[in-house]
Amino acid sequence: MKRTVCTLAACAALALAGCAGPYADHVSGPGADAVVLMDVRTVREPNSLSAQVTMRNDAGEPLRLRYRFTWLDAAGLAVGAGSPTDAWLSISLAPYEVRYLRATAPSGDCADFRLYLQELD
Amino acid sequence: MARAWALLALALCAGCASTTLVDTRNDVETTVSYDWRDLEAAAAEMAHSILASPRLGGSAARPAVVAIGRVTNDTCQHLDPALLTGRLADALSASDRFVVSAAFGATADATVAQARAVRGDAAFDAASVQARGTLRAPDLSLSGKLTQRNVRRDNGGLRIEYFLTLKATRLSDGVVVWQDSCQAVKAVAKGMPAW
Repeated sequence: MKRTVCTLAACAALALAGCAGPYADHVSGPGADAVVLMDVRTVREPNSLSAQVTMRNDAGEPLRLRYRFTWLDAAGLAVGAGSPTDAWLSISLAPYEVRYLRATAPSGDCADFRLYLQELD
Repeated sequence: MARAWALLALALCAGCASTTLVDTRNDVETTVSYDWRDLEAAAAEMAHSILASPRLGGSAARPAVVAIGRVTNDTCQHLDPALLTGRLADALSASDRFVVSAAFGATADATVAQARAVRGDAAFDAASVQARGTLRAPDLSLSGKLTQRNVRRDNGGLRIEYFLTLKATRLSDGVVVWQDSCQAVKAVAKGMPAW
């Protein structure tokens, strides 16, 4: 009985981890479940930091999303609030289309980013 | 009796007329005009594109000086291009790669010249007057055009297409080192007023 409980707990933990997904640290919002997140990466170049999130629309219908990148400094504080780089943008994905969302940090002191996705009707 | 009717009419009018504050974080309404969301989206796309371009130069050690040049409004709407260039200047100023010139272009501040016009004026403490040779000339100029096209739809309506094109010119040699464009296309039903 004890072994069964442990197995169930392990399964629940795995299921929860699965829901959060491997990119949950970077991508969130009600639109995150509408796409398949394939890759998240950041690239630091001499004068800039760029992020790219790769996603696929696994549905047979077009998908409209709006998204917003938020940039954080090394202390986790938001950078560039109110800047155009902090604005909402809309995209439309064709059925089964793979899309690469790219953004560049507003300043050199950015260290990480968050992407918020929202599905549009 | 007449007074009661007047009061009733006043109450009804007060009930009809209401002003609401738009929640700009969650505003997904579509308008036929080139509205603030189009401006914000265009500024965001262009800002990301500028910041991602290594050809524009500039570094934290020596930021490139950008003069905001002319952005032409070739639409049928009264739209101040400064609404767009101002947002781009926000993004450039926040970056440590660029600074925006207040001595040239659309963002010029007349005070820069006025502060230098008083050299030799005995009314001013000479030590507090701006010295010669301190202004930085721009390295880059940012200019562009917002264009509108009205396209007739088969159902009698209109598609209003807005194109924004911006370019950055390196002033040392006049070469365009960055250019990008974005579109906003809106469909208007038959009979709806458009321009």
